[in-house]
Amino acid sequence: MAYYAIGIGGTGAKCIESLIHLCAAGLMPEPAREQAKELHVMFVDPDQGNGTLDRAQRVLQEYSTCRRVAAGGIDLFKTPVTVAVPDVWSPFAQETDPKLEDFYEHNTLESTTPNVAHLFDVLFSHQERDTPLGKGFRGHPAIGAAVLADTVDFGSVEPWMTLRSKVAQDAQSGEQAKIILFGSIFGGTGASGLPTIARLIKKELAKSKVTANYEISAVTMLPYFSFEQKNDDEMRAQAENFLINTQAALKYYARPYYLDVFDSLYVLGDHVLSPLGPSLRKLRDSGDQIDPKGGKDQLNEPHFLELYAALAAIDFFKAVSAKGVNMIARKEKGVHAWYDVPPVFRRTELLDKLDQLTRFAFAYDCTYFPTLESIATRGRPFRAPWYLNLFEGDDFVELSESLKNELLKMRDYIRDFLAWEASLQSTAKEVEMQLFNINTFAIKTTIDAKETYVLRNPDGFLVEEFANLLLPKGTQNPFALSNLWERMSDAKIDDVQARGVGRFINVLYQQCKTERYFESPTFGKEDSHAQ
Amino acid sequence: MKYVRDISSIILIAGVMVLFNVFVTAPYLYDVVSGAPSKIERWLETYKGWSIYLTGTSLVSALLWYVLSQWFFKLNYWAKSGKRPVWSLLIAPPLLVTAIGIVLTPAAKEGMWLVYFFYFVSALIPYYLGTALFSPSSFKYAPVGSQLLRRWW
Repeated sequence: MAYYAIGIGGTGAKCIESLIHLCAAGLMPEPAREQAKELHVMFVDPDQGNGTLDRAQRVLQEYSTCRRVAAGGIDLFKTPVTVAVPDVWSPFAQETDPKLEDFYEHNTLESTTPNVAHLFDVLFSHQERDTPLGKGFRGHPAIGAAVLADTVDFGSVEPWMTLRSKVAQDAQSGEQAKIILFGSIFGGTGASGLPTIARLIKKELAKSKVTANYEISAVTMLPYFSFEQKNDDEMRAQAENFLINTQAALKYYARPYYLDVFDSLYVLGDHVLSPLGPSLRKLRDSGDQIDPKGGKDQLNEPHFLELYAALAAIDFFKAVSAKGVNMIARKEKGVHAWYDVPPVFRRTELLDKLDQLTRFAFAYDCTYFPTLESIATRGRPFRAPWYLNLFEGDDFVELSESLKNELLKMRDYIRDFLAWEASLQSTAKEVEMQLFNINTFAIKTTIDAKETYVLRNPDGFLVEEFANLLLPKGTQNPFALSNLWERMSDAKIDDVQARGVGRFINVLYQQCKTERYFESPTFGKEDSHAQ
Repeated sequence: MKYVRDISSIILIAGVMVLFNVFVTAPYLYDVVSGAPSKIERWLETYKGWSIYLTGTSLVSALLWYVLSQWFFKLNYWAKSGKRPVWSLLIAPPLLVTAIGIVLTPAAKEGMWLVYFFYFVSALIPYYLGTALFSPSSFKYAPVGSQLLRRWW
């Protein structure tokens, strides 16, 4: 069995980003690395220049590079992730300034089939026909549905051709393929893409005589964010229309025929629309502060609901066959904690693995990577016994080269991971989030009168809080990071599959393991889920 | 526990050094040293006394290094790793006591260079072996040459 994830629009890209982080934490279904099934990822977005998509692509690329490190049989990056070629499909790949009327050759229609042209005029306003669509469908799903239905081509266009052949191959070999689509229901691209692409996939597979051994699901996001509106005449998505758009979309989905295409459906939303918008990307070690204005940096920060979307995908991948209607809700209106998270896993498994990866990221960024840099430039390797054992032992590693390649990419990834956690903790408004203790590695700042969190420089991490990176805080141990150094100095590696830099990654990741959630007196006793 | 093993081993090394001085080097010096200002037996008692003081000082330095690096030096900040200068500094007390011992041991006409050699051995070996072999994990390679000695643990 292989898994397929298609992110549609900006929201879809953010959900994929969250799914990749959960893959990095080793949370995909298979218990061991050698049994891990491939996750095949692609994006659908007419706006190939948006910063949210850029961030998701960057995280994917970092994940792929980090996974190539031979770190042995650990859960870290255990899932092989393949990216479609091209990774982002746009219906306007060949167009520089696409407009709907050009797409349907309106001028030609007027002279050859005027009735069709008149129908076109009735269905789409002049503004809808004339607005450039290079930045997306502008919150008009009707436009998106029409364009997508006409351009998704499984016969001659990549990555659709490969998607079809891989799914068909899985299904025909008896392995079940699971395809999940992510998108919003209230915008343009996601709202138009979700039902349309799902239906096209199903039709195409039926044409190829593939009618069993695959399932299609979708995670559809109801409104959960808003953004500042520009008051001009340009056609654009309007935050004040989100609820009305959602109502209309849900009525569409409620008709039996339109849901038949999905084997299961996950619907997520929040009663508070968190204001998102221009934000900083995480500060890099250079300390550069990127100007938040400008297309590339017009990012929407990750939101905790996208973590739920990723968990929904894993639930779909794990489930034998989802049945019935299940609901989830928050226990307390103004609070969001780990006990509110749906039980996709044994609850401690999710926290144990997220805690392990967070500790790994924290320790790597503030302690181990700087130590390696110092050894490479100033020598004196005796300062780090773990370095001598793991880099200059039987499997010698050329440190300077590794610092420019695998170790650097690992650092880039873990800083993206920490920035993602900081956003999950801080973007939801009017609710007290109790997920991550982000003040240990992020700091609140104000950009353009908007409060946001950015990563601290590694030497500014609050190291005394290393034992409590997830909330609620457990037993205080201000020297937990020092204790980790001690364990690392003694650690031996038995995993013969770990080689080169992977030996160090293997050992550090394993030593960051904690099972403190078993000891928590309060955790696991609350259960907010309703059935 | 690990630190019980380490501390016991450091004390054991010092103990072996004392026994070595009493039962090996002292009888050897009985045959080698001549022209001592007092009777050789009494002179050897002075030698044994100083060798025990030196070994004791070396042991105290080694234990101090262990206590500092196990319970006092914390590595929440990677820049505080290493501590080789501290380890080097803790050799000073045994060396100082050695100098005092050399000055205060009555000089014999022959064999004093051997006496001084054994004084240095009594002062340095327990400290060096005790720290090179049994330093706590975080600082186990701070002693010079310990990486070769501790290759296997």
